[in-house]
Amino acid sequence: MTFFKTLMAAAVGSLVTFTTAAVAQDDYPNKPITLVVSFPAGGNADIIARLNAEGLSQELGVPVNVINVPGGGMIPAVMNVLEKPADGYTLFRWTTPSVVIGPLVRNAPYDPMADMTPIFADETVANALYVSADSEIETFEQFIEVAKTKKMKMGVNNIGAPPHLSAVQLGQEFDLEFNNLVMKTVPASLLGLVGGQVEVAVGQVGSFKTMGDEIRPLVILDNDRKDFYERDLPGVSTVGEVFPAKNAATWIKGGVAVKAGTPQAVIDKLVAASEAAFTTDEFIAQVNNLTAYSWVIGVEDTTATIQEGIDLYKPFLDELGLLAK
Amino acid sequence: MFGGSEAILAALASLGDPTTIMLMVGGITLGIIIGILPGLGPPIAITIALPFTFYMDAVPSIILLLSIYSAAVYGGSISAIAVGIPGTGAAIATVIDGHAMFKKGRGGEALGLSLTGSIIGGIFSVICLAFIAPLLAQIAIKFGPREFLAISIFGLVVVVRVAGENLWKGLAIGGVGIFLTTWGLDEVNGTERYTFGSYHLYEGIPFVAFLVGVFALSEVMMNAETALRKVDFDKSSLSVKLPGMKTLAKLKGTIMRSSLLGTVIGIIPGEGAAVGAFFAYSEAKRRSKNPEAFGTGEPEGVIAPETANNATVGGALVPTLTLGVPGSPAAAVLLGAFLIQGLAPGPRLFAERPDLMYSIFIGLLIINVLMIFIGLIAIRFAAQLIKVPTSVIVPSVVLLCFVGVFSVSNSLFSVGVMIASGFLGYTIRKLGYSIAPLSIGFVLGPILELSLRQSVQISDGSVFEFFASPIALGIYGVLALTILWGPIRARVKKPMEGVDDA
Repeated sequence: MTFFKTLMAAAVGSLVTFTTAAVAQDDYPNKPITLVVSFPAGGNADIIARLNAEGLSQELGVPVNVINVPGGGMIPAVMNVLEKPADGYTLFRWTTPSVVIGPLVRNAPYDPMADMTPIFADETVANALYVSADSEIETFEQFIEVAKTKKMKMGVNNIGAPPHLSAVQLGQEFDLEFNNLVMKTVPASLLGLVGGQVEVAVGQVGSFKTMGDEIRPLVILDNDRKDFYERDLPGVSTVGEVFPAKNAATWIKGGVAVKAGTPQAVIDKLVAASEAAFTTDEFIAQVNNLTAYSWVIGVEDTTATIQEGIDLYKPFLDELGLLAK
Repeated sequence: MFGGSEAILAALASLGDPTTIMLMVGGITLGIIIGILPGLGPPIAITIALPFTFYMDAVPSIILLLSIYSAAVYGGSISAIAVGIPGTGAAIATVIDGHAMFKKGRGGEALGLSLTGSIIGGIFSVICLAFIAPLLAQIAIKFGPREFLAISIFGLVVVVRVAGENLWKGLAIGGVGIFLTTWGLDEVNGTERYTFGSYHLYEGIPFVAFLVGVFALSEVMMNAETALRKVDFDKSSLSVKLPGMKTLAKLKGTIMRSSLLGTVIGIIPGEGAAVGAFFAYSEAKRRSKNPEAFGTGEPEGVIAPETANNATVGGALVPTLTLGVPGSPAAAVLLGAFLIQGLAPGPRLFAERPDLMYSIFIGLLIINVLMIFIGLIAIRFAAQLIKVPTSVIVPSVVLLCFVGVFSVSNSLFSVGVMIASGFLGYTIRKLGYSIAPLSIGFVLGPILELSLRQSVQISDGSVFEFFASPIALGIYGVLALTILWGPIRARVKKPMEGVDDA
């Protein structure tokens, strides 16, 4: 009898849960939503998240509050979302470190592909190779010649971060060796060029607008041309354009995700709201002031995009011995 | 300069807008209040206001943030003097003599000195920013690993010599501070160091939580021991005495040196108001005729750090505006504000938006003038705070510490770090050591480690290469002089005394 009672209780219990969940889906959202950001307040990543929050709030009709949970290799921010119910009231602003690099190199207590459902990807950034404006090296071809003769001092922000991985890929493809100098941030790497601490550095395509007169772009570290390259680095070729046989890909993206297991109805609403809010010219212009913009919408497409990032970086990190055991 | 009179007129027009003026007054008030509250420093103050700037034009939003920044750097001195708790890291050096003066019944004088010094330092650095920004930025840009290594060694040695009476005690505690910064992921090769299996420690011990714990929490613990004792102070300590021309004339050397030091340290990327204040304090002590009086309530020990910390504001803006590289943590938040406005700080900003540049220069001058009046009112308010018994202040400060630290990263782990650091600071104080070298070791540790490792990498392992940079060599030279100066002067003095006697 006890067993039956337990079974009944469980059945009733799950029924109650099911119905409340169903009700919650129907009138989702009926209370404020939280958007968790893994960066401190004030930076680019935070500002884009706040633009996301504003747009979603207008479409969904409830406040979307941004909370910043920085530090801890971005794991605390992810866990903050995964510890909440999968009801669409806690969103996560994902970026390359939290969904691609971090889970690969650390013993992270989550699996981004299994534990999260991405809604969209909005920003996209590409790396570019720079030298100082007064460097003797003027073209990418000249750079390769010089780099073959000596181990050049290469400025990268952090080991295992996309700029470093671009440098690693460059070394593999063209059979070069660099003396990688960790400069902590991308602006610091580029400033190292101006100050003469490094001979060459990996920055981002957008970096040129902040330091235009002092640095010289050599090549965009990507295979194919994207439309914002001409806006940020006019007249600069990609590696793929100069050497079609060589491979040079960058994967730096960001977007919004929810916890896996979130009801389909809620996901549909979020996708629809994102489509309505973020494809407007006004929103794209705002984001374009900060970074480059490339829209991937919907769960399947965004998941595939993230998988591309993992497939790209996993072999490099493995070769560097950085993959988590 | 750039753009001419048209740009100046445009700048004046946007600064004269009533909304901008209201934002300035509001920003200064908010900044001073946040500065007074322990644990909430300039970066947090600016961050709180940042979301509101999303809906503003470029000039009012930048002016609002600059008001908060300047006022928060100043506001920290009020609580440093009146209660002996630095409201911000920038006011740590002010506590030593400021609070000693207050205890002696000369609090009004100390408050007047800190206000005057802050304003002079602020105005001086703005003038530097406006006229020699491009030149100074070119010097700062030459700072590479070897130069940073030299400057962090210099900073550490100077601070250790300043704080406390015993050099070895200071070095030991400074070493503990550096050691604690090695916790977390090693950024050069990704190794986990002292993470104890917790991902919370991947990025090291959280900075704000640590400093709030070490300073604010340990301070209230010390205070709590005397909670039942009545706060005893001279009523005259509460009325601000702005220093007269005579006093200022006497202190003008210290004021000028501190203004210059603060501005230069502000320009050096990464070094903020706290380092500037410590440098100026040690310099004032070193140059003083009676250095042993420092710590017992010396006016120069108040005006030197307070002039310098506000001078770092203008200084920190030099690399921020001309290169897009923040000169201080607070300036890093400002950089974000520029980007949301679609402005990319860098050499081109001067050419593209001369009106904005003039708005920043002229706006900062107005902010510093307004700070005199708002500061005088705020001090009165702060004086009311002191009349509140310790039994009310202690729990209130603890509450603010908890809320402040939690709000930085919405993390209970940070709160735990704060409590642990509070006990560490308390223990260190109880053992008779000074906590200043601990905090400076903690601030300079990461710069020291990174620049040392980069220097080794650049030089292929040869130590001699460390000195291959003329700037670094110069810094080591000055350091050697500061260390040797004491004994040399003592030797020179002895025969001189003999001559005098004869």
